[in-house]
Amino acid sequence: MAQWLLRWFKTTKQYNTEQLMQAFSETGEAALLDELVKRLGDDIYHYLLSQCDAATAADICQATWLKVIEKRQQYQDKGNVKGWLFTLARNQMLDHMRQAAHWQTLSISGDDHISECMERVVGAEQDLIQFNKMMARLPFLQKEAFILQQEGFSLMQIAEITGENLETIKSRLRYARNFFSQVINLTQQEEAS
Amino acid sequence: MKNISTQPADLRLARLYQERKACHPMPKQLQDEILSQFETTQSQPYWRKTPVWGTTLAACFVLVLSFQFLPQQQSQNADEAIVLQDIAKTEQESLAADLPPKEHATADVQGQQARKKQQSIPAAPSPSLATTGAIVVQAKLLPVSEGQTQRIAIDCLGKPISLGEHNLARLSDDQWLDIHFHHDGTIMRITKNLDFKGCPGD
Repeated sequence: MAQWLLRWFKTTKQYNTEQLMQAFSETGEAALLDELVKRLGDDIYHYLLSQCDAATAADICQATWLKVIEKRQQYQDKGNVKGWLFTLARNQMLDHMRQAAHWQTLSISGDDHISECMERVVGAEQDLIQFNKMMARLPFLQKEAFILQQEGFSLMQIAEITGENLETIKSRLRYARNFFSQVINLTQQEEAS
Repeated sequence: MKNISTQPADLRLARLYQERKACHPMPKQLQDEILSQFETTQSQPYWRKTPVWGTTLAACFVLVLSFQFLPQQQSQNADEAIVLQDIAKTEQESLAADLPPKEHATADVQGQQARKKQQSIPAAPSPSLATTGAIVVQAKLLPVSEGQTQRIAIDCLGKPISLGEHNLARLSDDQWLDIHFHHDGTIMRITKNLDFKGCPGD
């Protein structure tokens, strides 16, 4: 069955991430892992990079994927691979932060790093640079909720990933939205003028 | 429900977020590193990467440990056997004391009995019997006249055991009983030099 699935995945591209993960958990085929990393690697890495510095993000990202490899046989198809991966990544990150005991400093320095990189990008729009600066100033938990929402997770899924209740998530998202509305409105006004 | 509003401000935020993400893809080097680590994991010996083997090894380890403790258990059994034998010995002495006066008539007979009783009690159970769970107590009975019967009763671990009445006519001076006990104090079998009729628990 697993071999058949693998052949089918290789010959057709009509499969979703859940099927891919399911096949990887059954076969342990490197090509499937490669495909998973290509599909979800950027999302995980960006999430981590938004909360940590680049070196730490790379370390945690690697640890997360190693966890996926290690726990692949325990994966149960719940139809939400991305949520599972983000949960693993978040747990890895929190473990790392607890060990390093520098929760607050990381959340700031990470986005500073992104902002600096963004400014170096040729042709970067002003509002994007502004947006990144705002991201750097957004508190850790609100930023986390915002990122997860932008990654396509529902409120319920965000609550599951973060282990918080729904109202807390709503509150954090409202805070983040109000926070960003300042910069959005500002740039819109600048464009209009 | 994806919960992303279609309001212009939210759409703009979403666009900015995607642009920001696109500017920071996962480094190719990191991707290669993850895959190479996976390959390394796959190339590990089968017994290290398969949880079933881990469980089997753990089971073997437990088995080996249990074998290590077995001699200690056997030693406990032997100790138990000695205790049981001591109890039986005491009972045997009291049995000899309870015999009819005529059996103890002369000092010579008593001395002979004591000597034979001493002979009849083994110093310790043999290891083979101890390990198989059997305890052997040799109960020396006094010779009786032709046609006489004698009631044999012993107390083992506080539990009276009646061996019933038996014809001891052919029991000579140098004969005795071998009573084989189970660990729970019940009699396994009685052997040696006695024409035993209907041994209870045999």
